[in-house]
Amino acid sequence: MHNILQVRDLKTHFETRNGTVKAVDGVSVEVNRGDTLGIVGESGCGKTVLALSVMRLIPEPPGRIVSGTIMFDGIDLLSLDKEEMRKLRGREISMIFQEPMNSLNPVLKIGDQVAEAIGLHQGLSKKDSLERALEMLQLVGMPSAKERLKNYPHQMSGGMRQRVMIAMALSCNPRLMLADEPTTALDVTIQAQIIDLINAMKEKVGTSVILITHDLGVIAEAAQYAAVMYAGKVVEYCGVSDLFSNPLHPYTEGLMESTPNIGEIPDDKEKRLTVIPGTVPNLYSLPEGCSFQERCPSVMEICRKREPELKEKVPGHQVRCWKQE
Amino acid sequence: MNDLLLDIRGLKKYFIIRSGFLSGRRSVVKAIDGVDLQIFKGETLGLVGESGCGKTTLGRIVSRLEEPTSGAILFNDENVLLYGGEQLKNFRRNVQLIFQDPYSSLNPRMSAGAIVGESLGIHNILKGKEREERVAKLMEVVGLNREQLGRYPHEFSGGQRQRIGIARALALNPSLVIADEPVSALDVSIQAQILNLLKDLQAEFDLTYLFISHDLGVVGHMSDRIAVMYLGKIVEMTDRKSLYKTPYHPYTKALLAAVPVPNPSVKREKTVLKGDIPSPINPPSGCAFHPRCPFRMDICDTIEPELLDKGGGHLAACHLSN
Repeated sequence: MHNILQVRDLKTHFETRNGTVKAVDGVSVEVNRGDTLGIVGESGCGKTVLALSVMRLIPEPPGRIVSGTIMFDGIDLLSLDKEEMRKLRGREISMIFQEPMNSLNPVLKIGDQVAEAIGLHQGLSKKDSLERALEMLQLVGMPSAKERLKNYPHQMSGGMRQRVMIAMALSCNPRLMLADEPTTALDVTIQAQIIDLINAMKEKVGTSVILITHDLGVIAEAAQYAAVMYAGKVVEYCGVSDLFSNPLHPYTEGLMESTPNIGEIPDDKEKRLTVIPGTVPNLYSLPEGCSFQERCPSVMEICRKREPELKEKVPGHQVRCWKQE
Repeated sequence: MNDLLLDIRGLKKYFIIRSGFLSGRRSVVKAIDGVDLQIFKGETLGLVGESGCGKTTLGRIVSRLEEPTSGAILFNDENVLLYGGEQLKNFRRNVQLIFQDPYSSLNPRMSAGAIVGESLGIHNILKGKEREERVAKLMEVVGLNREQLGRYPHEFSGGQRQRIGIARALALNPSLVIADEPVSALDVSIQAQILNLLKDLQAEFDLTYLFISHDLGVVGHMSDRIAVMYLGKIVEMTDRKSLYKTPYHPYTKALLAAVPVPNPSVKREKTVLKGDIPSPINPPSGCAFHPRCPFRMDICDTIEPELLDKGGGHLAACHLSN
């Protein structure tokens, strides 16, 4: 089989007092073995809920995976019971989060935290687990790793904590790692180190990666494929070079134009950025037709009536837009 | 454009930290360690640097929310650090802040109208109907409408809240606005809207900006001149074009190289800086950047480089280019 993960028509909804929020609404994506799939979008587009659905970490209630399949290396994750999923999680599929401070236990030493997962999943003794934890910390480039084993999270910088998270996530050689905004809380020079680290670890450990970010630059540097999400749906899905050389969805184009780029510092300071007008629609009451209609510069009559489907426009390049029909 | 508005001279801010319980051991954090900076009327001065470099502290000192350890701040040729009472109150009318987090910087129990109009009351500027009218005008200027005056912060989105924060800063007709990471908490599409708004307001109200940000793309888009800070010092300062085209300082080069480029066919130069930013408690000797610098020389370990003109007003503090 070519792909390690195949998500088909996934719908994850949340029941709230104000109605149903369709956080993920019919998403289909795949991750090829050894590749990185980037998922881009702004807050509330459903990118984190997609990742949590794959991890089966959606709080139920209020959340519910309504329909769809998540095939992981031939296993339907949605058919597994809690115990089976728990065995997979951390060993076969792992996740790193945006805030390395909030995801580490503040009262446990770093070494013990990394060793915990190793002991649990690989059945190693405490001593051997610690040994392996040290190896992992060295692998992710932790300076003076041996002394660091005895440190608590508050004694480390943000970049080092993120290295610990990555060491933990990769300690059982998982086949898939989900990284949710892993560099957003970090400074640029540290972000560059962590992106290089994720790319290098992917080579060394052979893990496939889903990289969730709002930063198109990060996607360009680390991913092979990208899915752009808007209001719970994938609106564009293709190889990374196609995405940047030939963006087909007006939302993707808007995102690219509205990001100030250091390669294109304008001569004229008065120059304004091209913006996407308005704000992300309310997920409680999405408009009929295309979710992006209110903000779209090339909206047509049909966009207000019927929702476009995600269709292959050019081979390997899918887009959800009436303009491209 | 060439009128000096703000002149910061030899500014230092040291924080004393007591470490250890009862032991009374004290250490000093040199948050700002000798900064000279000029801001001219009508310009935008960008201040970039990574977390902990002192950029926010600098903004807080300029607005006199924080008292410096030493140095002088001349605003229209008067040292504002000597101000007190009425004078200080007047100064604060002229210098206003826009904050990073639009969630925590607005009082959740005050309506948008009350937030924007509060300073008018404190400074006793307009009363009754006139004040209401001025507040409604301000709301419209920042792209909100007057029907939203009675709403509370939680009823607005992040971008709208930042607009309220901007309206509040403009209420007193300030001449200098210090914007401290005004768009870092916002989504990309909203960020562009706020940046455009700030540019429009600058043209309309003759504002001068001190624009603080960690994002080199945003700073380059907004600023006339840019100062790069590292561990409490300015290491490079020049107009924005030459900063991006011909950066002098290895730190500036590394910062620029670290920004991910949204173009997969451009491969980033791997001059990725090793290590973390050192602690400002015990900053490295000599040039503070030397432990991370790929071009370190012997002199860098011991002697601190001065901020010197490298030609055409391009200032840099580095032995390499001396």
